Amino acid sequence: MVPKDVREFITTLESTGDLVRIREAVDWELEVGAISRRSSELGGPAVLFEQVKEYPEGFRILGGPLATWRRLAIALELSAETSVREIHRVYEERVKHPVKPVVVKSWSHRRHIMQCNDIDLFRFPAPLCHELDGGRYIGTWDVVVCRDPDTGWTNWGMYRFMVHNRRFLVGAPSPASHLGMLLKQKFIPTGQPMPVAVVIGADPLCSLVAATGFRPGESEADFAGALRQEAVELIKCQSNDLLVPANAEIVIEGEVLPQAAAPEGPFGEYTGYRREADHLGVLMRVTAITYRDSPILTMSCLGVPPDDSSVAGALGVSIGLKRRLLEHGLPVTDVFLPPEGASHLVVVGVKQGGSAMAQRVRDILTGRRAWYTKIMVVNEDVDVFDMRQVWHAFAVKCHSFRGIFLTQQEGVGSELTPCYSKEERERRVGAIALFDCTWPPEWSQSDIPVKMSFDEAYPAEVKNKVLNKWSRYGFK
Amino acid sequence: MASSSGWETRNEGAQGKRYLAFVARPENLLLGEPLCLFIKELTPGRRKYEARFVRAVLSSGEGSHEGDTLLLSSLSGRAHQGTLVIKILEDLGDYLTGSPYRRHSGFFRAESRQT
Repeated sequence: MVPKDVREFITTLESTGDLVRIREAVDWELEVGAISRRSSELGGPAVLFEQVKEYPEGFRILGGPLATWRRLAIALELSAETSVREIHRVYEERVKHPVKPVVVKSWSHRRHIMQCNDIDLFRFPAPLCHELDGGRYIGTWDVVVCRDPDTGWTNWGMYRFMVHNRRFLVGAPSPASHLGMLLKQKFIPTGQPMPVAVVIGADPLCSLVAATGFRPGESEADFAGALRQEAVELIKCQSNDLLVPANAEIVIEGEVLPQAAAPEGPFGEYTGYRREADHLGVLMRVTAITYRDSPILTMSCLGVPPDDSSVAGALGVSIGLKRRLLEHGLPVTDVFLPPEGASHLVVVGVKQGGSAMAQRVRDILTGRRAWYTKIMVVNEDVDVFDMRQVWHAFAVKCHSFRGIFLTQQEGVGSELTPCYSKEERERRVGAIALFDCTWPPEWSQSDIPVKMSFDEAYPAEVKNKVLNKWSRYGFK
Repeated sequence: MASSSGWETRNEGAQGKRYLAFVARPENLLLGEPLCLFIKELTPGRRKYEARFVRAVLSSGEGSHEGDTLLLSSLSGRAHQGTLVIKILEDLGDYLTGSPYRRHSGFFRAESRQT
C-alpha cells in the first residue's frame, strides 16, 4: 500500500533511513530553513522537526518530503533504489488509468477547528525559510484547491502562500497558472470572492500531482488516485463547498478577494534565486482552519537544486511534456527535466532527429508558456536520464553554428527566470535556446560516425563474455 | 552597530519597537511627511513578521527620541544599510483595495521622493 497520509510516509521513510527526527527545539526563524536547505543540497534525508521554539509540543514541521529520487520512489511504493528511468516509467504508466476520488463524510482526522474570531494563522509554526524573505511561508509544499464557477472543474495546484496577518494569507500564483487564470477570467471581472483551500500535509502523492500541473479540465484528484492505485478520500470543507483530501494535516479554508491586494515576497524560489517581488500578491481571507492532533506542516525550503521542486515537481512535468509531444505525433522516446536545470532545461529523446524535428519539439513545448528556456534534443541511443550521456551528445553532436536555434517570444516567459532583465520580465519575454544534438536525417548511414561505447563498439559474444566474467576479472 | 543582515542600528537608547519594510528604493523614501506603507512586526514572539498597513511619518532619527525603528530591505530582499525612525499615525486595515497583480512600484511611487 502507498502511504495513506504523511504520518505513514514518515514511518516508512524512517525505516529506510530516509528521515531524520530532530527532537531538540529549533527556531522557525531561519534555523528550520537552513537545516532543510543543507540536507537538500547534500541529497540528504527528509527532516521531521518535532519541537519548534515558541510553539506547543506536537506542532511539527516536515522538511523536504520528496526532495530525492529515493523518497519519490518510496512514495510510489517502489524500492528506494529504483532508477530514475523506472520511476518515470511507473509514473507514466499509472497516470494512464485515473481513479475517481470518493467523498467521505466522517470527520475523523482533523478534529480541531478555528472559526470566526478564533482564527489565528500564527498558531502554526510557519517558517521564515531564508534570510530576508518577505515573511513566514506556511504554504511551500501544499495543495491549493479552487474551482471554475462555470464548469465545476476543480483544480489542485501548488502555490506559495505567506502569512500576512492573523486572518489573511497572501500568495503569488502566476497569472498564467490555472488558479491565476480562473481568478483573472472568472472572479475579478464579477467581483465575486473566489473560494479556495490551502491544504498542508496531504499524502505525498496528492502533493506530487499538485506540483505537476495537468491540463485545464483534468482532475488532479483522479491522477492522485491513479498514482496511489486507489481512490483518494475527499471531504467537504467547513466553510465552503470545496472538496479537500480527508487525510491532510491542516486545511486553511478561505476566499481570494478580487479587489484586495498586499505585498507578497520576496521569496527564494525553485530557480535557486530570489527575485524582486514587484507585483502585489493575491490576498486570501481565511474563513476556517481545521487540523489534526499534533499537526505536521510540510515544507519545501526551495533554492539551488536539488529539492522537492526540481526532483518531484519536475517528474510529472516531464511526463506531461512527453504526452503532449506524443499527441502531436512526434516520435519521442523520453523527456527529462534534470534537477540541476531547475525546470529550465528539458532533454528530449527522439527516434528520428534533425533540425526540423528539434524545432517542432521546441514549438510544441513553448507554445503557451516558454518557461523551458533550454531544450536539448537527442537521438534515442542517448539515455536522457543519464546526464553524462546528454552532455556528451551536446558536446560532440550539437553543431555549434547550425545546431543551435535562438528564438524569443513576447508574453510567454517566466518572471522568475534569473537571467531576464527587469524590462524583459515586464514584457514576459520568453527566450529559448534549442540545441539539436541529433544526426541530420539526410546523412546516409555511412556518414554517421560509429559510436565507441561498450554497448555499440563490440559484438554481442564479446560483451556477454566480458559481462559474465566481470567479477572474475577482479571488478566488484 | 551592524547586524548580520548589514543593517546599522541607531542609538540603542532611542529604540522602541522594530519594524521592517520592503520597498523599491529605500534611499528615496519620503521623510518628514505622512505616507502609507506596509511594515512587518519584528518584536520577538509568535507574531514576528505580521504585516501592518499604516500611515506613518519617517525620519532619519538624528536627534529624535520619539518613534520606533524601521529597518529597510529592497524588494529582492537585500538589506539597506542604515535605519529610519517611524512614527505610526494610524492603522489602515488589512490590505490595499484594487485588484492583485498590479506592479509594486506603482504603489510605492506615492511614498517616494520625486526623482
